Amino acid sequence: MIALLLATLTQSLTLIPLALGINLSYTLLRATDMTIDGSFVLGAGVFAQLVTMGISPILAFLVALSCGAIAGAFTAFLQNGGKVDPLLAGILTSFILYSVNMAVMGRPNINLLSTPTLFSGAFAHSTTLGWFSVALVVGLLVVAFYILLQSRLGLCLRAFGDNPALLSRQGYNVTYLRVTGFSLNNLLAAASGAITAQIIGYADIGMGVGMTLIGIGAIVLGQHLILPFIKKHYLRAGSELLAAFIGIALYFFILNGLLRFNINPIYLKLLLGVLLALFLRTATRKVSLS
Amino acid sequence: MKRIFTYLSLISLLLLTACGNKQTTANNNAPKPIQIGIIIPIEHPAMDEITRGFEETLTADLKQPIEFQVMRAQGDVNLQRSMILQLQNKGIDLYAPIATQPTEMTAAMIHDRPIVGLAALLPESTRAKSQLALVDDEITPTQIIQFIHAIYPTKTQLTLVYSNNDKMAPQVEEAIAAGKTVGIQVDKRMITALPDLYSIAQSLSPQTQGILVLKDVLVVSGIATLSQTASQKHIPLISADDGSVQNGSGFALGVKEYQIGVEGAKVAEQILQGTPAATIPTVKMTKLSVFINTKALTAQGQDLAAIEKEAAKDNYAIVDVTNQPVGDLK
Amino acid sequence: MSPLLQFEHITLRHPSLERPILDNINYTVQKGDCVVVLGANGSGKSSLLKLLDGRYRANDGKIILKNKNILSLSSQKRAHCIHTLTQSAKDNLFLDLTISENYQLIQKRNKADAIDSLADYLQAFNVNLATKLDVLVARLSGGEQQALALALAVLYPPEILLLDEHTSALDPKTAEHLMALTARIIHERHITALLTTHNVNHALAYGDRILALKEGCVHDCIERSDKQNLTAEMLMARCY
Repeated sequence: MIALLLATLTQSLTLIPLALGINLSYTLLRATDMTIDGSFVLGAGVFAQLVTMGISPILAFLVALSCGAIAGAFTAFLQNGGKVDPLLAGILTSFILYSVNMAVMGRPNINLLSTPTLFSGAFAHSTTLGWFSVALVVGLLVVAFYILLQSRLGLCLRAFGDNPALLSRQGYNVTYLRVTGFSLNNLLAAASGAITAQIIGYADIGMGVGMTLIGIGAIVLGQHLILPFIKKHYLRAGSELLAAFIGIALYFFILNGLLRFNINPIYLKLLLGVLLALFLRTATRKVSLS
Repeated sequence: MKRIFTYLSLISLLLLTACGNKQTTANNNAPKPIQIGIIIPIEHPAMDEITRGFEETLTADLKQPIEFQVMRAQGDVNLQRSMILQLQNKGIDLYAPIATQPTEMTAAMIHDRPIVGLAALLPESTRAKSQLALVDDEITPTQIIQFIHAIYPTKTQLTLVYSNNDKMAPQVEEAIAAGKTVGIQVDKRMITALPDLYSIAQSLSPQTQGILVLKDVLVVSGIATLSQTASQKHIPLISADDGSVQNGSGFALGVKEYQIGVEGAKVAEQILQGTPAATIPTVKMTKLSVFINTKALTAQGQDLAAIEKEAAKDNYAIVDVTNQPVGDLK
Repeated sequence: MSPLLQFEHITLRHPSLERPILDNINYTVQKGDCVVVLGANGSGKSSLLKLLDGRYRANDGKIILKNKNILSLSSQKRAHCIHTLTQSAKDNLFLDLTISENYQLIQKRNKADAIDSLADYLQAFNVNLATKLDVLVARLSGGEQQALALALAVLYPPEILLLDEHTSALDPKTAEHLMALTARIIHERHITALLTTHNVNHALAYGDRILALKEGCVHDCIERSDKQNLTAEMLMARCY
């Protein structure tokens, strides 16, 4: 049981920034941003390429985050002032990003096994210290994200998702908010990609496939479990964070748990899919009532 | 009501998963078999062949009982990570990931157990940190060009069809360079999608004396198109893997996937007998095979005898795959 | 009294319609006036308001507000001087935000000092919102939503307040309350307002002047002095 929990914890940890990013786009901005599939790989690829070139891991990490943000800004730009559906714009960007990622990486797979990374020193010391350093970086991102949610910008992004037309009539620059929102969520996805690459030992062109859907599934799952118990709306930002954590952890808990039954992985995906569909059904029912 | 049902189903699922991992601690008294974890990243007949070669050779050679745990990740990176973690929990003695990407992931996650990467190519420097041994299955385009030149010493014009896959670019360059040294001009034609293949096949240079395809997934999946052209023009279609020969290529110089497993099993044996994995040099596939399709060769107007003669000279095994169903290479 | 807002030759066309939606409208609004715009459905009264807040773009003409043609201003600059309330709460408020978050968005935009107590401020609007500051606006009743929208609209009084049938989605009693509240607030605070309604009684009771539109043209202008002699029936006859 402890092994199961540890496996869940370590797997969830690297995807928490991604979950926060999806929380931002899906819950706050109310858009399904498929760019994330591409910017996850972009973050991993840029980071891997830069550290392979001998650039310091910290700098490489920051550049990887910025590249994610630029990809998000591009998606926002494609939406052309709200006239193009964010889903379409995101799919288009993620389509383009495949070529960009290939160009950045120069090959489909960059390996980081013998390259110094943000965490390689700590992992060389001990696995516990290694995971502690990962938790530290993820923790910093979480705190920064929480401060953002509670800030004026966070409120504006939430208002943007709720009613961009009204926000515009109240005199806010919605184009700026759209660019900021999409940049931030892809920055977080790129962070997740860069951290994942360091843990799994490589950046791969195909590593982002399906990440958005896993993330949305996990978030909906988490929110469905948490939000009914949260009556105070000033706790909303905190409970959304908690929902993201619980959702992603539950996803991996179930995945790791089902694996222990020696179920054929073909049915494993079916089972996971059915479970998520069940939650999505009940969750959407709740929304349509209110 | 519906929500209660959802919660109930969730809780029961969690309980089930919590109980599920108890079944692994069943028999403690029996002598503990050697546990070997095989990680298959995606469903593909070639992967199964490698696995079969590995399992059969190791079972035959080792006198101890062995338990193989085969993990199939279905192309899902997250699932693959969970599977490696699960193997780690089971206390696996040796890991055998297939292909480069799963080998990288295993090497990044497992440091205290030996790993034999099958059909994996990684820089030597990466082997230092983990106990990693490698079996590299790549054969060079130079080997293929030289073999072609030996069979057809008079041919001077070849068309190389390849896709825009990044992995192909350096191999194409190598093929062109190798062609120059033996007096063959290699004319390169790139496709970006499968439909391109048809138009390329229709617009081949009339001087071309053969079509060459490397180990290139996209082109190989459309090999039938090129096979038709080769038959019309009575020129050979030459490739670098067995699957394309089954589908209409005349012949190929390549590696039997089963053999990769066999080589991997030999490395695993050495490790289990105490040789540190990192000290074992990367195994290159020296035992090459020539796969032939007699029907296709006849249609392309090619002489089997010349191929057999050269194969015998280079000590390559001849494998006739003419009537074998696709994907089933025993 | 001085002219605050002047419509000059305002024309609005829709490509699919032969007749212009608004045809050469000229009208002047004095500072502090509450002008009621009357007219049948399709007479163009809502379109007139939408031109002001930027939801529609005029084909021709000018709207002068304090010596500036507001049609050439960006929607953000326009937002500083014009505020609109419509009948639909989702046009007026962020439904998925709380009352205090809606307030924060207005307050910060105006870069004004925060008021001491939002609860105390809301007391003046007759509805008991003070205890619900952390409740999502979507959970409030229709009357509460419109009262809140009004309260937030006049928190930092705009040059022009546009009320586009803002009571018509409410039940008659609530609508009556809200209309009385609106009239009291705009008179107390000397707010210039343009109001559209189908209720001629409201128009008589609360409008300083009445502008009647018919088929996109100015049909009738009723000044403050004329208004006293009119009954609802007479107004109905004149305007429709």
